[in-house]
Amino acid sequence: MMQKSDSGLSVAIGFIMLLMIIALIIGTWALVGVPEQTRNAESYHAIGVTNAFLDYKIGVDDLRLNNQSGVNVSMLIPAASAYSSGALRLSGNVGTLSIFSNESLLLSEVGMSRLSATFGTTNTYVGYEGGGVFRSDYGYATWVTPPMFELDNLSNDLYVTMVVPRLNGSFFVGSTEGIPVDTGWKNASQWETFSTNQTVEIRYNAKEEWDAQLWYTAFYEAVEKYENDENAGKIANVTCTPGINGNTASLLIHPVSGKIIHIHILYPEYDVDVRSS
Amino acid sequence: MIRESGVSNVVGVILLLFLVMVTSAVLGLVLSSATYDAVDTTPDVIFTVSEDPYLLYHGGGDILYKNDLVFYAGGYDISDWIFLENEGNTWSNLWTEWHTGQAINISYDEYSASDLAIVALDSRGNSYLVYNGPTADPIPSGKPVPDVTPKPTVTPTPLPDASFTADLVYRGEIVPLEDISNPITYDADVYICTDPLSDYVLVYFTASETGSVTYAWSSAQSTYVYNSTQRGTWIYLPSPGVYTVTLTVANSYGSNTSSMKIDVEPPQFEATVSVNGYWSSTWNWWYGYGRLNVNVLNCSNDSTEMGVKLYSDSSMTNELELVLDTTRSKTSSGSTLWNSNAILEGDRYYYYISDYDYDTSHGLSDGYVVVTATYAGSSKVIFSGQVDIKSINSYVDAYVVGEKWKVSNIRYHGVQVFITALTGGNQKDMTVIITPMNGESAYYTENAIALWDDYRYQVGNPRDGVTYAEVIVYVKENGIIEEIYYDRDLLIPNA
Repeated sequence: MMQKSDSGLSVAIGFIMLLMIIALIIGTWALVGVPEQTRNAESYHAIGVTNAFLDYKIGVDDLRLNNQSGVNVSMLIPAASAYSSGALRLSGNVGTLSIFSNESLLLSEVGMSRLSATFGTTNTYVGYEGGGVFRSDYGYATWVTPPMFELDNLSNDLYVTMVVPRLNGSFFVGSTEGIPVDTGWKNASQWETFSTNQTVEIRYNAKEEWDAQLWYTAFYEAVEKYENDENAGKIANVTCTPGINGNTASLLIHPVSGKIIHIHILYPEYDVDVRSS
Repeated sequence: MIRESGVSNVVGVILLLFLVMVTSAVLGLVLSSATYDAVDTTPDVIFTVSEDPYLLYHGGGDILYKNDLVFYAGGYDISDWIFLENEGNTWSNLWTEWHTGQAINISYDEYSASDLAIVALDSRGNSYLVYNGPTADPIPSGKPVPDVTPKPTVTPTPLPDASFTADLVYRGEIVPLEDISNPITYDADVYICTDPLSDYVLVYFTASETGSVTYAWSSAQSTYVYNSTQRGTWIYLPSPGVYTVTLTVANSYGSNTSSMKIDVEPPQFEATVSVNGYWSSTWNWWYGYGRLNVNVLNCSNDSTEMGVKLYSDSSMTNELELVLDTTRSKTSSGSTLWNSNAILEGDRYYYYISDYDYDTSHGLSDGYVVVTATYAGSSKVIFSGQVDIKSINSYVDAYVVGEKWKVSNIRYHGVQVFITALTGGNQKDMTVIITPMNGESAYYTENAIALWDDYRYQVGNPRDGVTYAEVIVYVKENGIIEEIYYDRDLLIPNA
């Protein structure tokens, strides 16, 4: 009898021990493995969404450069990840662009459009704005590829070239899968040209401060690129000074006497359509 | 056998229990260790390079914490020389978090972002290489953190120089302030007269310090300060007023601050009657290197007329027009368009406002004058106001005709000074004094100077070896002496 009792006790204890070990392993996996796996998946997903927007930029730029009206760029933006849903938003006026010449308005306020996807648990979203692609984490944003804004020295005159895409439409679509987006080039917009020998200020008033900081970075990088151009070089005594004040980013350009600033702006228009899946 | 069997069962159970406990303990330690490591894994982050070789952007991903990072360049730990861009675009090495979009600045002259390697540390000191610039020194695999981190040998630098200079920007052209500063005794470091055709002054400030420092510009009174991250900044100074612009320059050892007080004055025009009776009002317009003087001058011998004199000694006024409007004067006459031609260097113009009714022919009359300057298509009133016409008895005047000093009549083997007095009435005690400084005797006339009286004086004689004269002319009235002319190097031509 004693043998049977001992035997039964050891089996029960061994079984319970085995269950505890299994529970410990599963608990540890749930505690550590799942969040880490989720985190890695979110990181890769962010890269996937960013690449989708970079493809989107290439597509819509191609429409404009080749005058391809009547042809749509169709993308499946993978807004949602395996662990969280996502949303795609088109906003028609997230900020305004103005140009002043000697404090007089040279270009009235032009609305800035933005197509952006939000997803994940890290408040990350990626977007297309001003011809560039940006990424935002926790309320701070950076350009993945900068907007189409350039300064060039051509024959000692300063040329400012901007392409400001206008995205027609307004939507906010959530989905647990990818979101299809169709974008068509609307018409052949013309370059607008201004030339002046006066002080020029290019000013971007953003609705959100991080967006102003984003454009300040764009202005700063454009100036650095122009001033560090080894071929053309910077124009003597023409100063380009980026600045930021609250929600306003600006670029102040002072030409010396006799120097001309040429400003070329293009506003390509796109019709953007989205269907939730 | 039974006993042995019983013993073996008990021993077996104990051993099994012991084995289970040991296995559980080992498994627990392994899982605990794995958990610990997993929580502190390498941050997922992207870095983006800048066109500025000393900047590196956080291109997205996890927030980076300074305490968990080590920055290497050339094999040295240069973490103390890593500055982060804060809100307001100021730079500091006292940062804690590095967010998406923010840039770090390598403030160590010898190294750029290309030379940088960034190592992230977890809470147990394990290190992971998260960024390696294209020209960064390779870090040994498996041992990214050197056991001994050599500190760069840096000679402690003094606190940075906070001095700075200011240049005026006039219509896109930078004009050094030292070239246009007016030697007027203002309690300010720099004096600027406003552009009369604009409502503000734009000044460009440049810091003297060029080292690895941060710059912070401020002006409490200015409506707009471009708080640039560069050495220079643009500041709008609405006129008039006294503005204090402050620059704080900081390096890793501390900071220095300096200030510049800038007095922004409106165009100067003060109409006052001088002791000898003429209106002398001057408005100085500084632009470029030129200067325009506008004088309203009552220099007529007829008290019923008021002369308005405008002249320019600028070489840059070919685009300037002046318009005189007297229609608002009750006693005026003449065209409202006084001069629509370009003002040239040395031009002098006179305009007379008549007192029609002569009701104050020996008393006071007045004229209302508006002078408008037109430049580059923009106009601005530079003076408007009442100008009194004094009675004939209330003023005297004396000046030197022509170019004030007239060289003529070489028969006298020297220089003759012609003085014409435009006086009227009973200026009994007015005296003209000429004091040559070259040894000649002084010339005085103690007599009353009558209207249009001419006095001549010969200064020096080249045949005596005197080739120049230093002459001062005084007017003395009522015991008060006023210097009206001097020339310290008046050339005397040979006969």
